[in-house]
Amino acid sequence: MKKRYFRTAIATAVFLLFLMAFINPGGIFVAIGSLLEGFQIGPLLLKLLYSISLMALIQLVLLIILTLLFGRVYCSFLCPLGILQDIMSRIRKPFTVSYRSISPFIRYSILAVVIGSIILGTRALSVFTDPYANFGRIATAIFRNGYVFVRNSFVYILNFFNNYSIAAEQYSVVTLNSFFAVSTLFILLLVLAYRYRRLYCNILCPVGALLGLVSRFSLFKIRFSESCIHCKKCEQVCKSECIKITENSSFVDDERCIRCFNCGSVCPVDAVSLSHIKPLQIIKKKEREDADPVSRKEFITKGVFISLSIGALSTIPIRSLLKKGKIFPVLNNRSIIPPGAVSVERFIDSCIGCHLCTAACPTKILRPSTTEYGFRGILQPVIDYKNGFCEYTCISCSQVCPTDAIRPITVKDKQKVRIGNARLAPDECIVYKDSIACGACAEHCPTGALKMDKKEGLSYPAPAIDDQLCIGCGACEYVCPAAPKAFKIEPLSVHERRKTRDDKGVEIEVDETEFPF
Amino acid sequence: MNKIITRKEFIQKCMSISVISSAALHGLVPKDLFGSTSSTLVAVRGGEPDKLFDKGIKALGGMSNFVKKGQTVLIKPNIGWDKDPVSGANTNPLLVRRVAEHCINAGAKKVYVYDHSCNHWVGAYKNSGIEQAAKDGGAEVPHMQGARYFNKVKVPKGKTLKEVEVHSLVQEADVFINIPILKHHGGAKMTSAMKNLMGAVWDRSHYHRSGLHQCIADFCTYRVPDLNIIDAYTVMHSNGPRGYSKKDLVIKKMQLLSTDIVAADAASAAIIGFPLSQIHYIAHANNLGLGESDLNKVKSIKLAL
Repeated sequence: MKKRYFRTAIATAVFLLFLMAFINPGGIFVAIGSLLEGFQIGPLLLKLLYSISLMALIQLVLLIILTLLFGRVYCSFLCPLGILQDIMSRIRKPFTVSYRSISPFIRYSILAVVIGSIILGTRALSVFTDPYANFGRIATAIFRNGYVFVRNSFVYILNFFNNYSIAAEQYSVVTLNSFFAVSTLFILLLVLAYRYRRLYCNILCPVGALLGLVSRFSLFKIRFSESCIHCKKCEQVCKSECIKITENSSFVDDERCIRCFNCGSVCPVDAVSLSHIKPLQIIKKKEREDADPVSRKEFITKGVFISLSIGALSTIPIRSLLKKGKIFPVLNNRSIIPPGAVSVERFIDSCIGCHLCTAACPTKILRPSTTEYGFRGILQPVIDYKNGFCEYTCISCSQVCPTDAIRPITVKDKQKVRIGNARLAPDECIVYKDSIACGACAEHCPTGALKMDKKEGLSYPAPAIDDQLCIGCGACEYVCPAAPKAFKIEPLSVHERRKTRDDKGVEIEVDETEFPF
Repeated sequence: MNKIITRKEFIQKCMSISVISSAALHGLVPKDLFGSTSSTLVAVRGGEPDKLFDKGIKALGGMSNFVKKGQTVLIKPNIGWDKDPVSGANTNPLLVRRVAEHCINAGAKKVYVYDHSCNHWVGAYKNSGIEQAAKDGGAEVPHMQGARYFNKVKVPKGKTLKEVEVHSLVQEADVFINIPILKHHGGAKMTSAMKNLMGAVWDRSHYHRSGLHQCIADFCTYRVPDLNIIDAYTVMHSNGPRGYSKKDLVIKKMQLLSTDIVAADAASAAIIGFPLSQIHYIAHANNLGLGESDLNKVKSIKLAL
């Protein structure tokens, strides 16, 4: 009994913290979020492909060691999408299942195809299949927006009573394709969880397949003692439908078992336990009963060796392959990416598409992409200046990215990064077109790249842009009063550094003379 | 026929004259009854913004001349930009705090501080230091951001601006106090009292499209602030309204107070050193009868700390 409650308590806490990290990505939840995301397999692997991060390597090794010790506990305790399915299956009154035979080749093929697609240079499949990314998109589009709806309704009720102490929030942007992707997955999960509990994790999930492979070698596995009375109670509550009890045998599919301890909790004779068995080699079913336990020392040395080599292997060879394997070009290079993302190539290759940055963006200019990245990626965020502009002092997106697709940068760095160039279409500008004094663009320009200059033939000053100072923040585009806009930010596919102003050591002049009137 | 005035009549007349003139000073009688000379401009210099205000408001007879017991007050500073107080892009937070304190002391029921920021409001309110300063001064900073808190109103006397979405606080507050900061402005040449009121409307791009200067003047025919306090402590003389470097700033340690928004802007132009002819909205406002742009016709009280 105790084991199951231990699992439920930890999983509930993890799930709620994940939810908070997506609903309110600010303050303390940024730290909690990055701690949790630091232990997500998908983002870790993607991060290690593109950044040299000792921390990420250690985190990955720790997860592999955990799996080598106890099997797929990750799926029960740490995976937010897995926990979401557990919650979904609870909608239904306790129900029973029986052993289902699932060929492992389905999940192996999916894993192989996903890995292959990464090598071939597209992220479309990994973005679609990674459980953390899928959870992230559900959390942003459904849970966060649901929270905003409830919060704003509450705010408007308070407003009715002349209380303006709480601010309304902005919804996260949901595009048509992200709506379909998220709602389809959500319904699929709901149906699968309602009928079969964790079927998704054992058919479709590539992380599940990967961890399943590792957990074949795990030190502790679910085993039945002699006292088993073959009552089938454990088989009926198994989340993975992987326990098979017959009149004279008890069998667990170790690769599918997610170590949820449901079985141990219902056993009337305490015959189920997480037992120390012979690891590091595939044990034939018949031999299980008389398997020898290995020594602790042997286990630790072999375990550390295997996990280190997996960690190292996962980075080195694929990296060199990736550089050559750009068979999918970026179809549409008109996409603006946030400061810290360095280049479009790097960004789409290392982004897992979890949408945490879109939830964190205060002006909601980050939205899921549609066709911007072609076959190279899908649903990964892109900047759209329709709702606002990139605030000069904001680095929210770079602080939350779990894969470092948007590198963590400081406000000072951000103010120096050129992500695009402001481009003026004089035919649309009202100074040219209607001969009206404007200057809204120059007012909002944070770096002074845009100024109103006198131009021959015009009655009022017109915008003039200094590309070397323009950071592409989109303020001019957003505030331009013309319809259609006279300004458009032309993205830089590789970010640049802007020119700095030479005014160091300048002090503010003090002039305390009499009034001039 | 010579009419001899009795002592009683003399006293009565003296009394009534003094009552009427004091009433005029308190704004109880329409200004034009006495001609344009009734405009008073208080100019204070040589100290910190809060001290300047203490001295200036005293010269105007104290805040109780503007705020009566139980009234709601809207203070409208410039919180346009996500910049720190030193950068001179927003109204000095010390001043906002002091004005709020004076309103509370005068018996105001509620004092609100609001501006429709250009940058995202969370950053602008926080980094300008105004949110905290206003709260410290006893004012409320209501979370009324977004189009739903603005209402469309008619501007019958407006020449270009016929309709405008104005913030509900501007509609409802009993007393409207305008505290701009004096800056150069790329589009309007100068931003001070009248230009600051663009932060009370929702769709600013409409102003730009239809003629910035006339719209700025037209808005004042909808509601003119009951008191204008111009923060000219740190003056941004170039590259406004954001400013890029310390080169754009000069510390003048000045402040202007007036009920006449046009006179306040004319004096601002003199301080920043721009000719009135370049700031068209001042002339437009003068033509609309909103105040006096000729400083020679304005009663100036100049004070120094």
